[in-house]
Order: sequence, then structure tokens, then C-alpha cells
Amino acid sequence: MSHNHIKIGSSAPNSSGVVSPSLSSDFGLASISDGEALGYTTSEGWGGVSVPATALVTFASYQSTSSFSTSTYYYDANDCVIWRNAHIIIDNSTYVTRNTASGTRVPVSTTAWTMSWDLKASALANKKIICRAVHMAKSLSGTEEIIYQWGVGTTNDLATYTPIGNKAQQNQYYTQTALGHYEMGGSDMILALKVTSVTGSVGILDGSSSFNSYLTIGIIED
Amino acid sequence: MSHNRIKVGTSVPNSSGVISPSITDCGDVSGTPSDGQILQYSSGTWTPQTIASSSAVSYIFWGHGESENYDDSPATTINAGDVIYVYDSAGVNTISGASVSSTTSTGTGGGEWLGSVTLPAGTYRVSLTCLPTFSASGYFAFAMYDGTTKVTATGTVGALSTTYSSGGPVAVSAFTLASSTTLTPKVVAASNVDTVANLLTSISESTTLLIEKLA
Repeated sequence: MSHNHIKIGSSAPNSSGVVSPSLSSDFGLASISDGEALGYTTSEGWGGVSVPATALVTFASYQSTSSFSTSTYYYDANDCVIWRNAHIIIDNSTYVTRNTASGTRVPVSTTAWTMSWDLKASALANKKIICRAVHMAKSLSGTEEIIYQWGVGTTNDLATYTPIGNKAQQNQYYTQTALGHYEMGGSDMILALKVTSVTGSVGILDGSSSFNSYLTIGIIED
Repeated sequence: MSHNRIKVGTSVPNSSGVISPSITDCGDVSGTPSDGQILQYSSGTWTPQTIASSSAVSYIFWGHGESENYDDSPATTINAGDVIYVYDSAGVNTISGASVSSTTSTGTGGGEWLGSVTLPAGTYRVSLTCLPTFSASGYFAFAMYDGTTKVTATGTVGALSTTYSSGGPVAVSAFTLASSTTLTPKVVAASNVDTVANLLTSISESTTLLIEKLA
């Protein structure tokens, strides 16, 4: 029959006149490997490309969305910085869970605030974690300052810990960003923002300073 | 006409003999896609797939807050124009084509003092932190440089930071490099910063360089 003379690429009609072309081989696509998606490059045209990756998979964060009232409690050196639960977002609890503020290494024990983060090896093993924080403690004046740093360890209060980033300072003029980087192994790990030193009376977040604070914890590389 | 008998998958010619096939008319494409899915290849078949939550940001992270005296670095002074050396015993560089120029510490940590990085063409976001100690009230301003040209905002710290105008206490920026470029963390200005010997571990503990390749 005449329709047998028609082909799409190398695909010819069957006896019913139906052509079932192959996307892979009949449309001039460039080389394709398993796992790739259909995409376009200027060098090769349409073909297989790596599946686009998210820039950063953030799985926990803090961002104040409303004011609140709290009593004032002051930090000591080696305390964990505490974060108000109401403003914490955990996007994926298979990656991380919160540890309630309790014990001697927090300004106050309360179930309404979080002192550290439990990174789950079952989901994060061999992944590289990046964390950022700006923590604007209660408004400081004069020579008051606080210095904090991301650290990892094995107890919820990180009584002893390994630093994973810079010491960052807050004084009356500014609050530095604390960066942290850690490659997960095969065991769960506790992560916290630790106070390395304090000068003066430096209090926990209040309803105002909380708006000027944030943290993010995420995967920078699988 | 005979071509009216032809079908591509389930698509038939219109009255003018034109066939407008759908991608699903291809014999090696199957499945029903949902919003936001992509077409992914596997063992000869194309199927709609949800984009996995994966991250593949290539980056340099140097400065994990370890304690190493600054006089174990190549630095002899810490004045305007001087290189700020960034210490790490396990610095990370996953940017293809990027290189770190570093010097092995003469101190007990035995890690590497980063002096500069060379980045291939691309778009980057850079963050640089630093907090030296001071002999008296003063300020310390710092930034990343391409030669003598600043490529980040100036970060300024210290009790007198307000006397030196800057963009904040961290040097940050995002920019595109058209070709391979060497960037160096440098002192912009310094007032009453301790001597290299008296800085002790303050530089290694407070200085972190994070470079993320965005594109």
C-alpha cells in the first residue's frame, strides 16, 4: 500500500497504517543516558540532559511571622541558642527533628523553645549539610556582645562539640552570619548554634528581635 | 488520498492531510504526566517523573572554625591590602575547574591557609566572614578582590565599625565571571587590629569563605 512508503525517521507504518515513532531515535535527539531528561543545549540541540537539581534543599528554618511576649532570660557561655517553636518550619522530619530546650545549657527550660536539631543519618548519610543563622539577641548596648558558632556533637545540649563554621558576633551595631558545613556519616548527629562567649546581659529572642533573626539548615550536595 | 489512511500513534490526518501528533504518540513514551513533571529516560522508555529533591550546588567551603594561630600562616601583617588567610584542615572544593591556592600551616593543626581561589567562568554567590581581635576600640573591613578590584560588598566589624561605612558585618555578593578569575580575601581597612602574633586563633575561628556556583 502507498502508506508503506512513508516513514518517520526509521519507523514505518504497520499493516493498519499506524506509525509509532521512537522519541529516542526518530527525532534526531543527541545522545541519551538512563536517568536523563529531555532538554536542550546549544552545543548538541535536543537530547538527554541531567535532571535539574534544586539549588539547596532546605529542610528546617526559622522565620518570625508574628510578634510574641516572653520573659527575659540571659545566655551564658556554652549555652545553646534557643529558638521559639512557633516560628520553626521543619519541611521534612525524616531529615531532622527538634530537641526541646532543657537542662543547664539553655537560658530557660521550656517545651515551647528548641535547643538543638537531630540530624538523621537514615536520610542524610553522606550528604553535605549547610546551615546559616543570624540570631539577634535582645537589643544590646554599650560593650554588650555575644559570639556564637554552629557545632555538632552527640548530646542534645552539645556540652562538648566540634565547630563546623565561623564564630559570629552580635554587638550593639550588627549581627554577623554564622555559617556551618558538615558532611554526615552513618550516625545521627546533634546540631546546635552554640554560644562561645558573652559580655553583659544578653537575652533570648523577644517579639521584636525575632523578626531580625533566621536560620536555615539544608542539603547543599547529595 | 492514501495518506489519509496513515496514523501516527492515535493521531490522524485532518482534511488537508496534515497530522499533528502528540508526544504520547511516540511508541517509547508512556504514562500520564502531572503538573510540574519532566519526561525522563530509562532503559529505552520515556515516562513522566517528579523532579527529585536533590541538590547539586558545587561550592567551596573553607573555614570550619578550627583553632590555629594566625602567626602559623604566611601573614606577617594585617593592614589594608594584605591577604586574609583562611584556615581549614578539611576545606571543601567541589567546583569543577576551580582551584584553591593554599599554604600548609606551620602550627599544630597542620591544615591549609587559603590565600586565593581561581574560579572558572560562571555565576557565583560569595560570603566571607571575619572577626579579628583588637588592641583597642577599632574596626576591620574586608572583602573579596579580583586583583585590586572589589567583587563583594565590604564587611566591617569592631566596636568602631560605624566609623567605617560598609555593607554590613559580612562581605557578600553575587556576580558572573566571563573567564577564569583569581579572587583573594583581603583587608580593606584596619584600625587597632591586633598584630599577627597577638591575633592568636581569632582569624582561624572566625573566618569562613563560602562560594556557591549558581550557574
